[in-house]
Amino acid sequence: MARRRPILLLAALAAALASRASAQDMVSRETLHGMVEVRAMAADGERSWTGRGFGKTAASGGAGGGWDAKAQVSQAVLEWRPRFSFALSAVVSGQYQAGAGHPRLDLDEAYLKLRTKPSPAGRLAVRAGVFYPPVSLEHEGVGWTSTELLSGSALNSWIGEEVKVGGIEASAERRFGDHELTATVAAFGWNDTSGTLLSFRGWALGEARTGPSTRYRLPPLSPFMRFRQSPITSPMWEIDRRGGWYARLEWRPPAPVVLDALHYDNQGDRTGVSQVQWAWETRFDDVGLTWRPTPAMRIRAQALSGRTWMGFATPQTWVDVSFRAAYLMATRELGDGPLAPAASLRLDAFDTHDHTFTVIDNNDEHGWAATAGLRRPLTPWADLFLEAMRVESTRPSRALAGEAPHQAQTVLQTAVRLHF
Amino acid sequence: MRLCAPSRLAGLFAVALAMASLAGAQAADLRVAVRGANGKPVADAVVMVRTARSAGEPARFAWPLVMEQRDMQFRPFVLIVPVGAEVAFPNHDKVRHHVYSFSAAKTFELKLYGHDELRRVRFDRPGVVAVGCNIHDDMAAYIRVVDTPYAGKTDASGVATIRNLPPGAGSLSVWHPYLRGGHDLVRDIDTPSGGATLTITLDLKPAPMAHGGY
Repeated sequence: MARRRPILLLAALAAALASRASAQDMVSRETLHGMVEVRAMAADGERSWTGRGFGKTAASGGAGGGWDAKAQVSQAVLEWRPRFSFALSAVVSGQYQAGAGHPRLDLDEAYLKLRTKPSPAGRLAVRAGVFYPPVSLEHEGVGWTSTELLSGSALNSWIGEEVKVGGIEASAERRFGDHELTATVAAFGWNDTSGTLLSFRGWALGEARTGPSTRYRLPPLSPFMRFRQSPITSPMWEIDRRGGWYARLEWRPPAPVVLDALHYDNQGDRTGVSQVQWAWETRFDDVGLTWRPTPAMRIRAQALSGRTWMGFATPQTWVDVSFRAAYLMATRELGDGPLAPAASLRLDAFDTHDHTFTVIDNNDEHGWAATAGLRRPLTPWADLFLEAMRVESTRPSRALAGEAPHQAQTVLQTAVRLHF
Repeated sequence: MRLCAPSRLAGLFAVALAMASLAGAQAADLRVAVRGANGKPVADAVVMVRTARSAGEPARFAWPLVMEQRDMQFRPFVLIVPVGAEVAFPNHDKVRHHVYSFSAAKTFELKLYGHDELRRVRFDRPGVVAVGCNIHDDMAAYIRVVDTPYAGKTDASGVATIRNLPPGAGSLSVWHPYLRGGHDLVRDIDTPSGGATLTITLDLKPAPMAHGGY
């Protein structure tokens, strides 16, 4: 059996808890949140990876690389956060996405969370279910949506696409004088194919969020890979029945700074396979920084470095790719109060380095992106976004789609998000 | 609370005692200006004076004993109440809040209550009570329960005035939620009958950053 989903078990547990008389808050304004986004985008350049190209964004240029535009209801999110007692709560979110994955409608996150009362010894938290590992510093919105820019960084776009787990996570939060430390460990499954998109497509900048059923179509594969790898990848499949783990440390010194570091290892069996989808062995380290130099300014930065392997050793492993990405983002509030606009600027750098079979299956890549955006609240329940992004990258495997290795793209976007 | 040796406080605070008129009043006003290490005024610092006669004196403060929830924040951020006081917690937000504290000075829980509803809590021990909301992690406030009638909170200009203080020897304590180390800064004072002005420098840590959603 390729997939064993934890969703049914969780749903049964949540239903049992919901039926208890002690349930505190099941359906109310505090427990239900949602967002609907209408977006118009114009772009030049290559065909998007969402349309079987190698383009780095969800937008495609027109014929001959000229400009093309489209408008659509791009995403909708509904999030339910019932609270069963002071310590026990749950998160269940579902989503509609018009972008990369299928099906359009899927579950996003679903987990139970136990968080003890604060005490001098600190605070413990445990969550179990389907969730994103705590990597992204950008996705603070309802249903793991980004809040300042429409397009995520290359680093966190990949987290949204290929690093979603089903598992159990425990955190301990404790103060040491004026310092606060939070240590987190997790054991997980259902993330075996992580590395597939990153190797065969490379990095991308977007808003895709993988659900338990989500599958993505890969760009054209090399003749070497065409009969070894399915043209489809399903990031939340469990294939090898081996558990993975991650560990994270967050430090809040007595300064307007938060630092964190995370190590992730899905311990995949590189030769495990189901329906021509493989259990990739993927490891990475991530470090993050949030800094508020002034009350109106927030600086965020992350850097991630890892490696992924897939397939048999003949004697070289079929795929052996190192990957790195980093970004630096500054957000400044332009005024006071909840309706103050905020301007953001982000610089991304990314690369992948293929260690094997590069003559017949080259997955090397390097590139950068610059993104500038403005979020302007129109009312307490509506935000207007304006965004401009420039992406340039070099990837030899673009030849498989008949494209030149170096490509540049400019994407202009505007969106209105309605939320409650 | 501990008495800090002046040598340990070197560099932390400076005291400027200004003599006022020596009219035969039996009560004086003590004006305390609180500054941060950067010289800027510190608002929301709690200034308390204990004298030989202050213990057991009934305390009645001029401000309302109310900690409201408005715009997803507690207001005020710091509230001074006398031991034994009952504090009202009205909710003016459209959403419900679940107010709690697990501080040693007072443990309580006000389970979910909504718009224009009100709950009350009695505070019967002196100390610091950190208040939070179990739904909205970034809501935070502090109630300082005091055992003296001579207490006040610094305003936006960093000044608190303790009125009608008996002249003579006493002990001055200053506390702020972001005070490094967390302990009151304590100093012996001798208030002249005409009143006095003190300047205190506090070593504060920056306001905590909001926690993420994980």
